[in-house]
Amino acid sequence: MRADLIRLYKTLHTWTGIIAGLALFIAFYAGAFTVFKEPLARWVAPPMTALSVPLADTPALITRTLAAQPAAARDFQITLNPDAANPQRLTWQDHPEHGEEHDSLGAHHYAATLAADGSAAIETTQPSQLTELIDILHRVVGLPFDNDITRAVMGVICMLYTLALVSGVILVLPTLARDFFAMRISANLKRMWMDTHNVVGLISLPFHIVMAITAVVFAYHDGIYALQNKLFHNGNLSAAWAGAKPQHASPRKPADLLPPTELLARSHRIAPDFIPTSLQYVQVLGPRPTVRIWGHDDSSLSPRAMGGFVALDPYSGKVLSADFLPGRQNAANTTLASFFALHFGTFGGSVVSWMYFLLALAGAWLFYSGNLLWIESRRKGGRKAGRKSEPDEAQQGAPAATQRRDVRALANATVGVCLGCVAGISLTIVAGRWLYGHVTDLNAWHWYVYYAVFLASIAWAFWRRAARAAVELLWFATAATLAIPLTSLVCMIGLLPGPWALTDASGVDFTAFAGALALAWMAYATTQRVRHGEAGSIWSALPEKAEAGTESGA
Amino acid sequence: MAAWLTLGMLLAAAGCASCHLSVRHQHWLTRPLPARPARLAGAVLLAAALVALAQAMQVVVAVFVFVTWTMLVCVALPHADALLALYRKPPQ
Repeated sequence: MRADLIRLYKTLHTWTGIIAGLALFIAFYAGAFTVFKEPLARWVAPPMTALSVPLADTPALITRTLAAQPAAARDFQITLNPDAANPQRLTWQDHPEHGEEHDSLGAHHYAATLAADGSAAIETTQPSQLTELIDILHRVVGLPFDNDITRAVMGVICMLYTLALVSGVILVLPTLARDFFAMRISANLKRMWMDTHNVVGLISLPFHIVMAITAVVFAYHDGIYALQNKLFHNGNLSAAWAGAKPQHASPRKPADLLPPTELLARSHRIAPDFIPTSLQYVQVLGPRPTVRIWGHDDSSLSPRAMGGFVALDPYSGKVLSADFLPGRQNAANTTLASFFALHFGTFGGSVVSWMYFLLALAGAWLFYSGNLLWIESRRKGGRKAGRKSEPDEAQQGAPAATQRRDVRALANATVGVCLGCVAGISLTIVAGRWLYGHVTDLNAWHWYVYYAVFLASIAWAFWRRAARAAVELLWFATAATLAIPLTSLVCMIGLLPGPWALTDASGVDFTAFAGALALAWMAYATTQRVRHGEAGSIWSALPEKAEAGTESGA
Repeated sequence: MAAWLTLGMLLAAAGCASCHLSVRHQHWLTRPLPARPARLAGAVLLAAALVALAQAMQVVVAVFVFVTWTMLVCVALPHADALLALYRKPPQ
């Protein structure tokens, strides 16, 4: 390949990567946790204190709730297996009239249960939005709101990501066969960073291509639908979604609804391997009543993050649609569902969830290592700190290198943003238990804790400079992550008063413990480099001493 | 499903390892495996893995699981290799 072409692609890869890298680190690191939203929601939720209404009594619960609160008929949900995160059998949400379409944080949550006298007892609830916070960080690359503007920013970042992927592949093509699987460990650190960057980027390329393309579509899907509406549906796309004319013009009575057990039996007859998790009733008092039986089938693709569903008429049990039912989709729907399933990892069950978790962490590492490569390529070498005491006159007399301002800035930003995100997510998880019952709006506090830690880490990195801050923030992130299993331990032995007194340790705790060990190892390795690396380098903790009289150290 | 899934994943991991051990950068063996036989064996193991996975799930899902798993194993192998090299001979 021509040298000028290689140079062009290298420039393109470098700058698209540098501009998008830190945002993508947050998207991938937070994205890794969205794979395990349910266990995280259970970890942070207080244990159930009361038994839910039995499934057999659900018809009465529905009838009496709709009599007391007819607005709930628009869209309510029956949870089949209530747990700590979803303890109530019947729940619904009320979204603000002029709220942002994708904003799930502004919704009011309600739950209904049967009182002792048999009437419906309706209460407002405040389910933890910790997992929603992490999901928003993932969806809009660390920005605090999911709205049209932040999604557009995310779309631009993902387009840069796509360009970085394509240009990166072109760059490694000439040496692909020779360097495939190569991880050369030597004193040449730039070579090592390059190898690890190439191994992760090249081998997991299919994963990254899928993520880049689907993320761009997710970012601009409102615009895509609007264009589709104008070009292909003459402005009648909503009518196309609505389907055939309603069959029932007369008002419907909730008492005529088929019992959930009967609806579940019908879905089982259609798809025996499909495991239902909830029933979503939509417009049950309107002309087009529907119940969506949501669930999953590990041997099939689920077309949405929360699984797939079969839509039935809740009065007759007639199948309205199996287009979203895992394993029962036609070729066109399977193709479309593949994009969602490949983005969300909703296939193959928990085994694939773990694979996605690890690949997402590897993706975060890809962007972190990309920034390190940029810094390594531009930092100027200096004398070895460890040789200062050696009788090497040339070394001792050599001035320490002064690093470029932009290199220092990116090194500081890389350390602050990446480790701030890691520590922020860990601490906001922990805050879910420690602040429970002590603050009025715990969901708001999840945001305060995350952004306080995130912004303080960035400030710390710029104040202390990359080398010192890397060590200190790595130990801080280690402590923050270790606080997750320690909190569970404290709950188990009863030192943290409150509803978690009997909570067992969980997969979240073991994963956090493993993460803390990995961070501690990185902190130790970074300490070694900071102490024994080249004085005056970005990664030396001795800049002032080594660079007395120079601009501002490195 | 679990048995076929486990078998498929083991076969795929073995196939990736066989390919990895045939490259000159590997550190597990003192000399890399002969390239052609090792890569042929790797390809056969990977094909067998795909067949095993297809017994456990829809074919399209089997392909997705297969690709996801081989990506993960192929990313992990060189890093495990590098850790082994570091353990045996730290860089000067």
